[in-house]
Amino acid sequence: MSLKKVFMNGIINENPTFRLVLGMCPTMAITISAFNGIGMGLAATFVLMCSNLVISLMRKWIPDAIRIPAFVIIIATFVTIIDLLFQAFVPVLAQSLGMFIPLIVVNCIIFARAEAFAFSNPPLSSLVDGLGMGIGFTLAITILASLREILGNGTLFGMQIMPEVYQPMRIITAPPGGFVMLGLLLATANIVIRRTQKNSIGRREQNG
Amino acid sequence: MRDIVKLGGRLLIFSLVAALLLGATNMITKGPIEEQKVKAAQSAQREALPSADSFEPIELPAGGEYPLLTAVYEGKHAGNVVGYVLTASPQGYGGLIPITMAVGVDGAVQGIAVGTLAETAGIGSRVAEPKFLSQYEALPADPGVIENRVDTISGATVSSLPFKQATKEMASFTMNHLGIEPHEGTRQLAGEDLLRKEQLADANMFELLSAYGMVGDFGTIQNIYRGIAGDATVGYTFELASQGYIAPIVLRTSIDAQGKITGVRIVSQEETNIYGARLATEEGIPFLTQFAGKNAVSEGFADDLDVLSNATVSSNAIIRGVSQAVAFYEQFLVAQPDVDEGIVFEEIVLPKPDDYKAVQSAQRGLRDGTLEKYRFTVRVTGYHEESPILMRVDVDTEGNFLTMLAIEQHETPGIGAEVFTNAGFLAGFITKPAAVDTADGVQAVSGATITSDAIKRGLKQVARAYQSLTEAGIGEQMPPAAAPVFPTVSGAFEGAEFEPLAFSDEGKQFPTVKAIDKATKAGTLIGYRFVTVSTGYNEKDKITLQIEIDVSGTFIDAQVLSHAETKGFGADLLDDPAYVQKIVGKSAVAESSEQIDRVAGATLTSDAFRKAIKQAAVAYQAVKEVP
Repeated sequence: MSLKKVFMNGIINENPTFRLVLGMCPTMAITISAFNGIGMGLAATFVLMCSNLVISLMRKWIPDAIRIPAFVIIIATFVTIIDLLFQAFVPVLAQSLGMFIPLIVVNCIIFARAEAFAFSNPPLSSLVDGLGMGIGFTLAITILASLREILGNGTLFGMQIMPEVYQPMRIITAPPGGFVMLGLLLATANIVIRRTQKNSIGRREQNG
Repeated sequence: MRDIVKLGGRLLIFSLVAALLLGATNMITKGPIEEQKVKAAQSAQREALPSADSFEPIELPAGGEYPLLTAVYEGKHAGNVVGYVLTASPQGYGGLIPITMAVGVDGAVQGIAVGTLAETAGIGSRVAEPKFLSQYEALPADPGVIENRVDTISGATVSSLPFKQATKEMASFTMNHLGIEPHEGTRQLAGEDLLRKEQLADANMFELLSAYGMVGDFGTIQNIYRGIAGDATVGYTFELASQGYIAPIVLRTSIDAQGKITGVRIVSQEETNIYGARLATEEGIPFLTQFAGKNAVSEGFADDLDVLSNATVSSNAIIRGVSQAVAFYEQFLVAQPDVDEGIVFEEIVLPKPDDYKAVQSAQRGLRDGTLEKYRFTVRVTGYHEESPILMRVDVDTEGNFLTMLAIEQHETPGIGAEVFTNAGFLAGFITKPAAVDTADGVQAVSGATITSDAIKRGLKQVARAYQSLTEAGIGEQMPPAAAPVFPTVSGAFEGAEFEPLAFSDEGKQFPTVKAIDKATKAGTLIGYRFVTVSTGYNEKDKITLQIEIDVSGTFIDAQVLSHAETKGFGADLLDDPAYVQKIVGKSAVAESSEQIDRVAGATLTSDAFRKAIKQAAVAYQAVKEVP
């Protein structure tokens, strides 16, 4: 697959949140504010890229029998690094993301990509895949977080968006509302993506 | 086997590399993380003491004197010390409770905040609620004051008690170690209190005295607030609703401690625009300002007040409201203590005590030898059965009820407890003849019937007691209550000689002490023996105790001479030498009685016992000969 395809794959066709439905835990918990969404997304992207790269580089070296522990060590190292970096230089994010940064270690997205892609693909592709997946994840959770913040709090990135008269629907920032919003977004995303796929298949057929 | 070594070895290498990477990152980030922590702590400090701009930690004295304190910071502004921020983390129910308290150099608590708690939600977590924390606002930083004025949360003692203890330690640190004199601070008033402060400028705090709408003569009074500055009463604010032409006019008026009206303000009104409503505009100002500075005296109050022309009904409504406030103030709020000044009370023997068993004692009050009033103490059971109400009822020489005071009551705050000061209730018998009919005719306060009925019962008993006194012709013979002789037993004074000591208890500090003997041995004073009579569970047969205190001011003996308490409850307590003798060896001061347990299931008995011990100590302090 061309690098461009690999990259776009992570954002649209195999979007980790909307298509692969991976990493639901942090998605649900973090997406109460758009700022959190971006912060978490970037942290996950960093870890995805680094771990994909390293695992791909060492794929010949990691015996099959111990690949899971090896993945864990590698992923955990990068997560700890980003955690320490956040604590030292972006304490605001460290405060608001709190426990969910260390939980990136067990974020299914990273594990899944390590297992399904990085372990059997060249380093550059893996890196790009990590980047694509990361950006896809960031986009997805930021969209979800923005919607939840606007409807459930009346603000976006902390700025008042809705008019004063708007009474925020608090349930949207609570977990039940999160599930509902996610469900709706999943449905929307799938409709859009399938239509794009159909169109592109149609075009390919047309082009012969 | 080789495989395992190979696999293990690989993993080892991975872990090693990972560790090195992490170590490197740690080295880079360690510094900045520490900085962040310090900044966070500083922002917490700044939040606690906003007036300071720099904080320096103070070293805590070693030696475990302040075990709960974790840190103290000195806050400075432009080089001058403005206050201190103290932190403590006492152990609560589910974990540590991080408390930050700021004390200003003026000796008052400026702020208090609680960090993340692990206490039980809805119970222990209430220590972080504003309702609990607001008790500390502007409080003098003095452990004794905190002990007395801060109430722990009932049902959440395991969380609130250590909290209180920690704050006491903090206050002790500022008071003793830093030498800051505790003082009452100024509270931030909010909302309606600010409006009240307009009329009573010196008040720091407003305390709701009565929120029950009055009826009858005080029908316009809705709420009464007492304006307080520190311990002193600055004045009273009345919120009134007086029927105007169309609807009740809501007013606020205040009377200061000198008995002058400080102002009248219309809070809201719905009178006719062209007539009564003008009172709320500029046209009404001359009318309203008439009140300011007037003495709060009912007689002739409205005589020189002008109404606003074409707004007579509304004006009169306002005058009526303010007059009622003045009348209420006159009757119930004007400081009463002077009333009894100069009166000497003597005990009277009641002719037929069995007819009014609830009456504990009767006295006549003489001013310069002339009889002025009678005073009865009566005990009734109200809502709280374990804590009976002790009331003091005064009757004047014409046979009318003068006053009723609760000496001791534990009725429900806000409900039963309010009856004692409820104007409508009191108006039912005060200044009316002291007869059983009067007491019967008093209207119980709705919602507080049990307490009201109890008070009425007490009044009936007083009425009967008074009747029997009049029948017996009180003026005739008034023997001072004969000093009853108590059979004493040998106590801890060996080979001593006892001679009765005459004493008088003017201030009623130790009424249970009925006899005091001096104990001497070979002519030298070695101590005192007290005989006390206190009422426990059995109201008829009281508990008599013999208590001995030696010249060094220590209890050396305590014995029960007689009692008729219930077997299985109070009797077991008094028959147990371990309980009775527990006071032996303790210092003869009032506080020592608190070391004796108040036993659940035998509260009345143990209370009577403790009271007797306490009063024996007080009596000792009063009569002891200073060498």
